[in-house]
Amino acid sequence: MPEKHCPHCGAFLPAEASFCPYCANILNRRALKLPPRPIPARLIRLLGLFCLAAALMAGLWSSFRPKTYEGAGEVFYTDSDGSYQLISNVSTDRYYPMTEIPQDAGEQDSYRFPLRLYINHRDTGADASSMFLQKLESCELLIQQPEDSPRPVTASVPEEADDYPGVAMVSYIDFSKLSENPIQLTWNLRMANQDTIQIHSTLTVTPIKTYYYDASNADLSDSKALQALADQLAAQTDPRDVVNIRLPAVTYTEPLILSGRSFNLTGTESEGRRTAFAGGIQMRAPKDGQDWISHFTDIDFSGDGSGVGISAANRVWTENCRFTGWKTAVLAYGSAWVNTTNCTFEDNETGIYYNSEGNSGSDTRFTGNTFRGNTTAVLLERVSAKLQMDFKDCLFEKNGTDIDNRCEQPVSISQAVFQ
Amino acid sequence: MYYSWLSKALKEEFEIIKRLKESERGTVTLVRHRNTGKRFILRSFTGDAEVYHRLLNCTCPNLPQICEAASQGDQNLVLEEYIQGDNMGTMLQEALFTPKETRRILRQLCGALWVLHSMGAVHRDVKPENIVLRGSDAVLIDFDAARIHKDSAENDTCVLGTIGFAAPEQYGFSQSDACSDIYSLGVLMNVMLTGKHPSSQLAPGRFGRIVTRCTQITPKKRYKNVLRLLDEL
Repeated sequence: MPEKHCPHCGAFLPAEASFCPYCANILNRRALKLPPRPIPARLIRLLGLFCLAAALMAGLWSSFRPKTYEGAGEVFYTDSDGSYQLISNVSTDRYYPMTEIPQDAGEQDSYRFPLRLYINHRDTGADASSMFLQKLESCELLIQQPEDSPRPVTASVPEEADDYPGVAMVSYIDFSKLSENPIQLTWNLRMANQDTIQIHSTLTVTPIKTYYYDASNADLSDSKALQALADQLAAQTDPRDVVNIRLPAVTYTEPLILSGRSFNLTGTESEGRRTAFAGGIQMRAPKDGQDWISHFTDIDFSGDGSGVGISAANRVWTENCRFTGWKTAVLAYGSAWVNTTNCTFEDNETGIYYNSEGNSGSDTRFTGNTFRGNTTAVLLERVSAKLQMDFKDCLFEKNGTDIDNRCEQPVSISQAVFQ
Repeated sequence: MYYSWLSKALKEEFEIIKRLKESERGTVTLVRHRNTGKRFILRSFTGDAEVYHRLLNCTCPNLPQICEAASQGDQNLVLEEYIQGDNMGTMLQEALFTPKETRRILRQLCGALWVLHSMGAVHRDVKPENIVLRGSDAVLIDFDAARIHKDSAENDTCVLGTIGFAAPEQYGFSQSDACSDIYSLGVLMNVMLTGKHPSSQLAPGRFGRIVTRCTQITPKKRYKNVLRLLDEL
């Protein structure tokens, strides 16, 4: 039997001995065993309850927390009432989402276009604006653009678009050729239930070339010379470029026929004479979709009781012009939209005659005009867009008929004067 | 071989003071070391001594220290620390324990049982007579009924323990495990507070609820282990 010595008394002991019977001492090392301090059951229960409550809260938060819906050009949004398609564009097509909005910018200080928000029922495609707007808490138009842009793009506060039937909200975007790309326009809608909807469109401004002509660099002496220049420019310039022609204070006796592009004609005054057209201007229908607005400013259109002062099959805007003695002073036909502001219509058989169709309109403003002594001041046979024509600050005086609204076009005359 | 050597050495070096218990299984004797005068408990018995062998390597303030254990066939010899103090069985004949004392003692007994349970042993005879109060420590003694829990055994091979304190499964319903000792602790707690078995008079209030849970017939409905009971206390 193997042996060992007792470390206390030195006695010989069997190797397996744990105790020395000679000196009554323990030989082997003993581990002190104490129960571990248990985690209190109450604490475990509390922790369990806490975890359960946290999981429950997380679940509830996940279910009910406000959500953010985001998209380019369009967003589909669903709430307890149904599903909606929200579309951002600059079109009259309510189902056409525009992720990219290209705009050209010439020499004008500022250009403007209405950015539209359409809201359709997702399933039926019907206009859901009125129902949706009741649930809308706020709406803003956010712009992201380079901080050092020389001419930052701005947006008007979005408003319900009474002037644009079928459009839920509209914001007017102002920019110029100096506005630096990239520019992101974002409809930011906050719903009453705290959901957020963001619809992005990217605006790309393309600066375009501007040509200036006046008597110093072009022959503008008579109708023939002016027609030749117009024909040459139509043939040689890019339709997106801007052509500004400053006309001398002469009377152009022959009709001026404009086609192929837009022209900005500005009259002048010299020695009591103003630039005048006795044969009128014929604005032909657009080609290849070129429907830029031609601006005619500070020009007299003097007729002899027959004919048409401006016959427009493309878009025209007259400003501070005077129309007298025409069978029809301004005729909009084809798919044209013609705006007149601060103009005078006097002694014509018809001042403004709308007989156009289609689905495009430039602007609602027909403000500041004077209609005097016309048989019919405004005749609305057909109008190419159901925009509300605003006759704010217009004076209707001694006309046979002030407004002959045959097509029941929306018009605003609340701030017009009728005498 | 070691058994014989130890038996001989003990006879030479120790003297008998008192025969404490004698039964068919063996004897329990209070002995004294001749040279040092230290007193020990010497157990000589037949049967399973595995619990004692396992306790040789550890020490716990609420268990008597096992100084030596030797086995030869079915014969066992165990020398253990003599715990000098007051026997709870005797004390209970005179007075009950306060809830505060009961709680402190039960917590210590839970610690002692945790040591046994953690080595796979079950005491199986937790009762006032097997508890000695040494100063502020309660010491659980007498592992004669103790056994090592075996997963494969279906029920206890022989009935051990003390009627009233032993759990139902110790009478053969199923194999006794740690839950059996929890049952006994429940009964002990009730007796310390009321002097009666919980079936006669349940301790009032929170202690009563703890006793009720400890003494569920179905072991699974009792506290899962002594640590849970310790926590509850």
